[in-house]
Amino acid sequence: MRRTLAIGMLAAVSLAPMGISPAQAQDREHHRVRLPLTALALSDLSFGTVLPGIPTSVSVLDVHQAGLFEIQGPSDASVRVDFLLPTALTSEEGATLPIAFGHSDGYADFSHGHPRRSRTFDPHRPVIGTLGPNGHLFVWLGGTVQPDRAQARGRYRATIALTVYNLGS
Amino acid sequence: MRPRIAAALRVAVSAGAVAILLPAAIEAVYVSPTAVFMDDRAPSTQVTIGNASDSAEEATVEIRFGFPDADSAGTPFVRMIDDPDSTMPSAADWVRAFPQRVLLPPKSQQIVRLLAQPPAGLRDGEYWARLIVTGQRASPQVAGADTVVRAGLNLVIRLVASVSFRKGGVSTGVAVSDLTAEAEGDSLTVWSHLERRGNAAYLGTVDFELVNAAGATVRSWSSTLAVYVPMRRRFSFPLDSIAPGDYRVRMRLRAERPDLPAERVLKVPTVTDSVPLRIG
Repeated sequence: MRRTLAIGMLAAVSLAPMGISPAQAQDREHHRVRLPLTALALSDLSFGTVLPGIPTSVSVLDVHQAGLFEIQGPSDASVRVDFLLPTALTSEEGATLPIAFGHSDGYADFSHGHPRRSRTFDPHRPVIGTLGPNGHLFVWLGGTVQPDRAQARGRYRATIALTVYNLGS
Repeated sequence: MRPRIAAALRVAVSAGAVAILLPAAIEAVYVSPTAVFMDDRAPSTQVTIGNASDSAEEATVEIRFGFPDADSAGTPFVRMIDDPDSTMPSAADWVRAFPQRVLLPPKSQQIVRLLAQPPAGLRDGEYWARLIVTGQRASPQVAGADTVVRAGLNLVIRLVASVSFRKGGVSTGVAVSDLTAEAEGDSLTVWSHLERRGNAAYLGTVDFELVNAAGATVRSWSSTLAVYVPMRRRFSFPLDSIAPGDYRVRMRLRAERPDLPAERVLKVPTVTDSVPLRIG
């Protein structure tokens, strides 16, 4: 299922910059008018099992554990993406596990192609830009959890809020 | 030609690599349209909210007062005001959304009706609000046993769209002043003071062109633009592989928005300005 979706997305992405017929152009214009604003979480930021007393970082480039989000909208749409980030995760028993996000723990790719329009960013600050001709923005998120030496065992969770503003209207 | 082919190949390979690695959506919330218009002749409309993922999503719909603005650094944001005073053109108190809370099964959508009930004697003009759709997985995943320390994060998705109510005659326009441009490293930063005219928000497209000494356009960028209140806006663009030299930055604001219904885009003349720029 995932492979099917990935191949479908590959086809869509690969065809985006190529020449299109008038009928396709009309179809594209039709979709441009009707395209919704969509936010997708493609991958959760996950630290997996961590060892007490040893900080564990997930790089923004880690394809398995970094958070990956996609914003879709009309081409040339002006958007702002804000993260509301936690300072700690909490276990079901109420224990806390500090978490930190560094100034380069965010990575945004507005273009997904040419010309390249991607950059690292501080996820405490907003990502602002214009969706490219394909109307996509991909955002990756890393971070670091800092368990104490006596960190209680358990499943720790916290919530990230991702807000997408349409700045063009 | 060869470098261009090589560059195209690099792009295709990197795009393909990312695409192959993309997993299916864990959460996916959408709202359509992204700009909602109502008026005194048609005081109700509907929007569609949806869940494009494979897991159920709990969604809430709120109406609050807000509009695009820019901070002192020129960074655009949506200014939300919880208790607007009577001088502010807020529609938040009298536009209602139904339903306000829905459970969206996987791959489903829901119609949300918006109904405007403006107060009697409302003056002609445009009144604003923001539609906020918040989605959260109905059953967040909790994986792993309690014998170790495991850490993961849940996600709340919030989409913010515009709501406009127009009563009677409305007009708009935009004025540009204090245009400046500066090349900083591999980026072009353009500053401009933007001021709306009339009694309705300016909704248009801003185009920037980088023109060389021979008059040829070497780069261009376009973006949707909304001007609700006076603001000093900063725009940034990548300047990779631009040769040093003297250029001009042209700015053009046109009341054209293919993403909005044509009858809702108020027609006003195109506004242009330009400023010299030295790179290198």
